[in-house]
Amino acid sequence: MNEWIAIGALAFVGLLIPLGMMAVSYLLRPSVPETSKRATYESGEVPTGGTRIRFNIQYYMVALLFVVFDIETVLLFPWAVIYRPALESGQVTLLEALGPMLLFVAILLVGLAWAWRNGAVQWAKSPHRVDSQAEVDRP
Amino acid sequence: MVGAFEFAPAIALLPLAAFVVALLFGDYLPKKGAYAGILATAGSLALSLWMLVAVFGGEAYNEELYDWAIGEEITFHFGILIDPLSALMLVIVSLVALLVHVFSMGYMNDEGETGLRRYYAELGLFTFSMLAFVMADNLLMAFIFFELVGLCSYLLIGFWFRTRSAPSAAKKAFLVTRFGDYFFLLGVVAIGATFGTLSFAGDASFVDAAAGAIDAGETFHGFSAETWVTILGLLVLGGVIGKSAQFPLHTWLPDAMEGPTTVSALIHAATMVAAGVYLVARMFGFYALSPTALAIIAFVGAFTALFAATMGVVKDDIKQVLAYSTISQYGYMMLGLGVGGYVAGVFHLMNHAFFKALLFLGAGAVIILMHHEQDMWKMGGLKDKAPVTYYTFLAGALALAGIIPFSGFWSKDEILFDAIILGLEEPIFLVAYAMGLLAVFFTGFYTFRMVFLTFHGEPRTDAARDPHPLGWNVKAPLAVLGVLALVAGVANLAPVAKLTGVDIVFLEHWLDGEYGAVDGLLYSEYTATAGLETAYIAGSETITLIAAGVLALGLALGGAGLAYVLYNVPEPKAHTENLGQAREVLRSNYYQDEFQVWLATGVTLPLARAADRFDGSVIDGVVNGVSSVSLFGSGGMKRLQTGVVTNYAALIVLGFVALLVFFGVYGGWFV
Amino acid sequence: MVVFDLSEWTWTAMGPALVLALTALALFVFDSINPRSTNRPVVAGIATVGSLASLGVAVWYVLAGVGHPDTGGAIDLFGGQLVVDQMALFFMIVVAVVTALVSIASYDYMRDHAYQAEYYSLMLLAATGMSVMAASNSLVTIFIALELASLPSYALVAILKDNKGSVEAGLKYFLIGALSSAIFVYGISLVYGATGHLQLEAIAANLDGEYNGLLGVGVLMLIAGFAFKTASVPFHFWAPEAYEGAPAPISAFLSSASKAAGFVIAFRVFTTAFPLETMTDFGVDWALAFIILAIVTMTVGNFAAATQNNVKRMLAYSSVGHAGYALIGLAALTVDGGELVLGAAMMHLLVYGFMNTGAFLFVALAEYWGVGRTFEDYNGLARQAPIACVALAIFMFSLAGIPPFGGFWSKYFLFTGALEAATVNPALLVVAAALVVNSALSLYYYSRLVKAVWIEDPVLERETLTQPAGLYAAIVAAAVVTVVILPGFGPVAELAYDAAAMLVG
Repeated sequence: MNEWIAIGALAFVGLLIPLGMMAVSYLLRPSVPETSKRATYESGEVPTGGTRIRFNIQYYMVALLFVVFDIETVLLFPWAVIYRPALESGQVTLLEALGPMLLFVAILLVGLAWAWRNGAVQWAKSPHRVDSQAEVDRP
Repeated sequence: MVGAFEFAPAIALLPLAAFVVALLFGDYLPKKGAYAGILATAGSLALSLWMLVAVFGGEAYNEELYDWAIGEEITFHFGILIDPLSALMLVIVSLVALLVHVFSMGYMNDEGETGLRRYYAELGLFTFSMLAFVMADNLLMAFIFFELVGLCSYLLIGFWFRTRSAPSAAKKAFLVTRFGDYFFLLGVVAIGATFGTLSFAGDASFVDAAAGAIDAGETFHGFSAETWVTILGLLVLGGVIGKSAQFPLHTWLPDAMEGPTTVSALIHAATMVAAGVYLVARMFGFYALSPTALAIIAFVGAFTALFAATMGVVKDDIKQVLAYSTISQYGYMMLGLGVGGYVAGVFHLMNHAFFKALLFLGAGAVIILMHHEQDMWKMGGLKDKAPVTYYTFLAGALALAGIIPFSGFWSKDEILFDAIILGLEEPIFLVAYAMGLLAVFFTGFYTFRMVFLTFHGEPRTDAARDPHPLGWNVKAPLAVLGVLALVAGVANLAPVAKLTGVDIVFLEHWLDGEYGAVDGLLYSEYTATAGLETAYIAGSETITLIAAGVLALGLALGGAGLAYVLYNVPEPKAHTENLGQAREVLRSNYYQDEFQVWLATGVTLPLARAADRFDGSVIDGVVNGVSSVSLFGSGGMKRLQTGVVTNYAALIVLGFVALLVFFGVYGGWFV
Repeated sequence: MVVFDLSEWTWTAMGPALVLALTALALFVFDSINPRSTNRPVVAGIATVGSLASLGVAVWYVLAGVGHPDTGGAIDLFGGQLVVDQMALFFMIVVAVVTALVSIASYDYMRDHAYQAEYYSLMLLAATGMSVMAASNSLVTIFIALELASLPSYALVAILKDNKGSVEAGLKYFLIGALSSAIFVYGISLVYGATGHLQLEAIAANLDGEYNGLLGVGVLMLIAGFAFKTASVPFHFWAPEAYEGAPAPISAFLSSASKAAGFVIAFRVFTTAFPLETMTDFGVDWALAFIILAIVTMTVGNFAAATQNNVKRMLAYSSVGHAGYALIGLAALTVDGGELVLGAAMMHLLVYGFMNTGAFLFVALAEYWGVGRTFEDYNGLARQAPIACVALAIFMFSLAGIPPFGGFWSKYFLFTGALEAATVNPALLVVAAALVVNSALSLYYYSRLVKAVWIEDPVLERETLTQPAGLYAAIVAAAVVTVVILPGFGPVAELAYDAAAMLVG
């Protein structure tokens, strides 16, 4: 008996369950077609425009910066937890314990400074203003 | 070992330096680089003499200087081998080269030739190549410089490239010798592949390896070791036959007379043509292992000696006569080597170098005298007008004809003696001996026909009546060589030694390592290896010696006498008509040229056409097919790149899955 | 030789990579102080000096014998997460050389573009990633370094924001790269699942044959990741598009340095973590996978290159073909060794770093001149720019593997190495044959370019072409090295063979 067969069977069952549920509901449900059922919003709001609209790039900028600091926190946290015990154990010097993290933060700070200076956190310009600004920036 | 041999490379490098100097600055130097060449060759001569003295002092030199290709099985290197043979040859080559350089000032500079920078540069390169060839300690190095020698002779024969005949002669010399060298190259490769070494001497020489293989009874490629050695020897012999102008590859040499006479002197006496025979002597230990190869060498030599001598009889051009005499004389050397007479062969090589250089330079002098006329029928009576030329030329002619006591007699006599004593034991060699003997008569005849027509009788043209004067630079080399032609025989007066019991066979002692020598390159060792049996007339060496000597001398005198009768008259007439049908055959050189042309046009050309057609249809078809298929395939590959990124993703996943399935099944991961 | 004692400060063994990282940070600082500066001499200068410094440190380390068995062997850092040995330094040299050449050349190429500092800092960050890849010794560090090299590369390909081709190429490169990274990281997880380790030696020590199928799938997925980075078939689809759309210096950078970095991790992972002997017993014959990849990659690359009309695209496919040649280094590894052929592959990547960078930089020069993109557009360039065209001829003939250029020798060593290995594994005869056939085919399209610039007559009359100093300097330097690497091949070959022997032996 091949153990892979069990995996295959699991996958098969996994497919079967949703398909089966859909099939059962198809068989059981009554069919009453009605126009209002096809509206986008049941509340009756009429949608305007397409769904593919542009989001302001600043959302992503902020999200990116958030990720940067998020990761910084993720790494800072365990470091902070063992920082004091490590120093007390006497096996590492202050420089060895503190230095790498300071370096890490410093590198991130360089990145933040650069992003700041290059306008990553300047919010809200209308598309029109951004265009005119761009022309000024890039002759 | 610090000493003379440290300077050995300089012997070859000096002329190379002269080549560079002449090539770069020839136009700005006085005499267009002649002095550079003279200085360099004089330096080479001095160093060569020093080598000779060093070897005389009991030393020898066999060193690898530079590895230029190192392989697992075989390593190619440049090295220098100075033993009695090469030391002797170095002296000969550098001496003749020096004299040719000096003579050139009279022959070329004073005659107002153009292109002298090129001339002296090529002369320097030629000398360099030959000296390096002589010093080579391995077969590949020898081959390299052998080819360089060939290249230089091509350049020099075609020196007057604006004429129609010179370039064609140069091409012919190049192609014909190349044909022989092709076999030589095969031989080099085969020897290297068989024995893993190409050294002439030392512990790791191919000669030792071959001897060991024969003793051990090994087989190579289905042949017994002995047969294989014979095959290898004959392959190398191909190059020798081409370079030394032996039958049937001798046809280039008479045409090579298109070059300046000085070049002819160099080619015939000491460089190009001598290279072939020198190579046989150099690897004589190898040939000694194969009696078959020796016999073939002997017969090729004997036949060539006779064959060329007969053709020399009917030539009208003074240089043509000398050309055929060269072929004939190298035939003698081959005969001597082939019958085991190593000393005799080398002896004749040395003597011939001197008297043939003398004769060619003499002919050059005659040509200057005659305002560049070479037809002997337009000369005559130069004896009184140019005594230095006459007497030196006469010395050379006597040596060539083999008249006692000139040098040629001693060496030729020794060759014939070696041939007859071998022939008495193995009668087949008597045929070779007979051919050699007969050639003596013809040699005597054509030599003196040439002397009488040129110098004796009444002047037959205005040019002969009013010859151009000669400078010191023409006379001095003639004088030096004239003396050498007379006395060089002293080096090995074997008959005298045997008759009187006085030990005066210096050359034999020299080559047998009485002084300095390299192990394995000794005359006595060769003789022991070859193991040829000999016998004597009536069992007596003395009788055989006297009989053979008297016979040869008598024939030579007979030939000379016939020439005297026919041509030493005030108004000589052409007697060739009396030869009848034979005259045309001889004049046409036995139709050898025609035969070779027929070979080229009748056999090779159709074959080449067929090959070309095959190449054009089948090979090109395949090649074009491959390229069409490739380009078609290329189109297919290009279509894979659709430009739609989703297709790429799909193809990547598909490719990955294909790999996964293949390896999963192949590696049994799913079992 | 100065023996350099790193025992106190072992982390300095990563010097070449650290120098590159510092240079990138310096550029960020510069750009923060002076945003959107177009002071090209300063930014290009910083980048060039930084990459040359990295090169200098790497060469110094090699000469001082850092990581050499004679001076204590490979230096393990951070518990074996990174290792600095001869091979790492060898490839750090390759990366630094290419970065330096590209930095110099970009000075002219990027003359009218915004984002100067960003361009160079991204390039140096990518170079840092590649340099770290050379030293990575654990699947985690490999993945991080790989991403560090990849992410800036995506941005670099798309840096010509106003050029549709560049943006499209960047997007495609990113998408394919994301897919490949996903496959790669999945492979890492499977290998971790099978062995319980990520550090390469630890993986090798924990191959117990319990989860062969899992391990096999994981290994194949790792191969997929490397194949992406080295542009090997079937993960090469991004390469022609990205190289064609990207700025030509970036194409040079990606096709030379990035490819070399991809190879170095492949060399290290497969020789260290998955010893062939053990893996073959487990039914995971990865050498066979590389044999197949090598043959297919060579063939697809060269065949597709043969009929291209666009020079840059031709070079892109030729780069795919060369990836196939270098793959022989792994394909010809056999149970009883293979350091010769591995060393040959490393040499090939070094030589390739010069000749291919040079070739793409010539394209950069042509784009700088604005002469056009097809072979016809290049016709007769030699009349106006003979020096650059001599260099181009050298690059082309070296790429085709014609003596006496460096490309001939590395290819020759690959060929002999493959033949030698064929005594153990006859399948390599096919590889060797494919190498010869493809080299012959490659001569066709390489010589076509040489013919175009040297022999053909220009289609249109051109105005006099300028001679931008930076591009010229980079091209000439690359050409000179392509030629003089031949006499210097002794030490290079020795270093490569040493490095390979350390890895295999």
